[in-house]
Amino acid sequence: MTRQLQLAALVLLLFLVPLFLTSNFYLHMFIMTAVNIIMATSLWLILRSGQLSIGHAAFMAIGAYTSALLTMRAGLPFPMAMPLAGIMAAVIAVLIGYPTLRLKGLFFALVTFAFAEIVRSIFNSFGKDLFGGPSGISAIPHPSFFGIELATRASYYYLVLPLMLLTILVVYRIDKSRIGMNLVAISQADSLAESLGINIMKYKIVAFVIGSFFAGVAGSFFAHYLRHISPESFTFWLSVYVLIYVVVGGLGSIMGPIIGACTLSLFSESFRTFGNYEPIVFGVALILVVMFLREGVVSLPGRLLPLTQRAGEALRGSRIAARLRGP
Amino acid sequence: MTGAEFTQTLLNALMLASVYVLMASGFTLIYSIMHIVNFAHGEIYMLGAFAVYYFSMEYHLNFFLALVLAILVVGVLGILLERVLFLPMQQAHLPQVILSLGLAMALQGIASVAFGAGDRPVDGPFDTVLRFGGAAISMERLIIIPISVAIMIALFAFVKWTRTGQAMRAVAQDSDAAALQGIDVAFISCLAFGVGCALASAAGALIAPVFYVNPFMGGSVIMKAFIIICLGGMGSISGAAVGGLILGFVDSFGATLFGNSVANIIGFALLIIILLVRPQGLFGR
Repeated sequence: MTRQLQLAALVLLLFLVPLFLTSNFYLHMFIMTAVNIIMATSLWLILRSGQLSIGHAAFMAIGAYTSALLTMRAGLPFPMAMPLAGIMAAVIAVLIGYPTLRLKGLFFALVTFAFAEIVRSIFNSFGKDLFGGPSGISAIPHPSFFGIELATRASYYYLVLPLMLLTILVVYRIDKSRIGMNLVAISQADSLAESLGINIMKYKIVAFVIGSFFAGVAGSFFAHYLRHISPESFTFWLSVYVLIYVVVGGLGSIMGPIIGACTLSLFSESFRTFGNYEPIVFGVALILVVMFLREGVVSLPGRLLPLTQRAGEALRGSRIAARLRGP
Repeated sequence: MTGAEFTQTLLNALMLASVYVLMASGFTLIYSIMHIVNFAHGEIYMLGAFAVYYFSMEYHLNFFLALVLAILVVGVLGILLERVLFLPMQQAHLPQVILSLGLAMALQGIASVAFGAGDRPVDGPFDTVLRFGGAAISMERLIIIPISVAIMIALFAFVKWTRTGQAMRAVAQDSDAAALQGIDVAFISCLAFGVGCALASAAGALIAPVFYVNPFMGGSVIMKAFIIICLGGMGSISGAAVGGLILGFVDSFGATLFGNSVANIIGFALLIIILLVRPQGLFGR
């Protein structure tokens, strides 16, 4: 119960943030962090099934372009365009996932990589009057709900925060359900899982499609927030960044992608002036975590706690020894 | 397509293919021994190009001497990278792949801070332009073809006939069995990574006079290397040679006939189809 109270307090605090932080700079930082958390948590669900995807940005791009075109060309209202953007990403995930998810490890990673490049090339060079070629789509409308237009930073924050919480909640519920247990079983020993009667393709597709759905939703938000998208917004490096959030945070629990995305994106947004050094810091952080802290930053307390306990015991031991030795 | 256009495209295809083959054979050599896909291979290629830029343009060395130095320096750097980063995490292949992503990002970042993000020109060894039947090709493009062929022949000879090369093939087939025969697998891995990086460096150094040198040049070529090793079969050097030739022709003729972007998409579509239909590559068993 205390844990739930703590969570409720944290969520309440998050909703109160715009009251304290009125500066647009900080609100932008929080909004981008929330987008990154959606991306990282949704990728984590895919990684949970043992499939390494390095093309997650492609589904964000699909969502962003779908949402922008639906509102601008088809005149759909934003509350319809956003879910449709997610569904579009999910449908494409089914089409691409069905034949390719049986590939494992490296091979699946290469397919997602190639798929993301194809998506980017299509937006870049085909249907120029639709997708706008290399310069992309600009002047994307602000999101509006039943005539109320969201134009301030704070209103965007109140849009992205529930989206982020919903993503975390859905992914968390899936992870704690039978599906989540089966996913872990598949990632650890897929042939054993299959021999126990788990339909491994079904679960891999479920994880891939739900993960891609939320990436599409994040793309839709991204498009209507920055109001300009181009193929350059969704490069291979964006996929790598999202992967870095997850790996640095830790793959073991849902706290990993949340903490990884939080720390790294707050870091990168607040050190904008050192923009040139950002890839170096991120790259080195990834290397160090992979080499020395395979379970990610979330495993740090668990690792440090025994150390401090042991140090405490050693200290107590030496005191007792000193007392035994007498004055 | 007229005869002159055809000759022109053919020459460009051969030039592109030579660079692709060098790049991909290093990539596949590393894969065959260490079972990792090195995402930083494009950045190693970029470092080769910068090395030749510094040796030839800043220190005014002869281009061919600069080429040899670039190959050696980046080869040694590869050996160091293997010792420091990849060796401590042996057998964990997927984490090693993720590590190479971080390495690619860090090297690109370091290069753009240290060398600047702008384009830099490198003067080639010759400034003559050859003409045959309406087609024109500069000497610095043409020279790439024989140099790459020579390097590839040397690589084949090394792997085929030297004891170290044979040890490499043994490790590629079965590293445990090779270790039981007394082969130092850690040394072979290290050497393979160094040779692979030296080959990428040679590719970057050779292409430097043709295109500009900048910190981001590795990105496009690493994608080509992926496609090639999937075409030729992961881990096979002769597969990489054939795959490189195929992709050089697909790219050059595809770009002339349908434009660059279609050629790009054809390449990636080939990769996905090959992985799905023949994961062992076109010529693998």
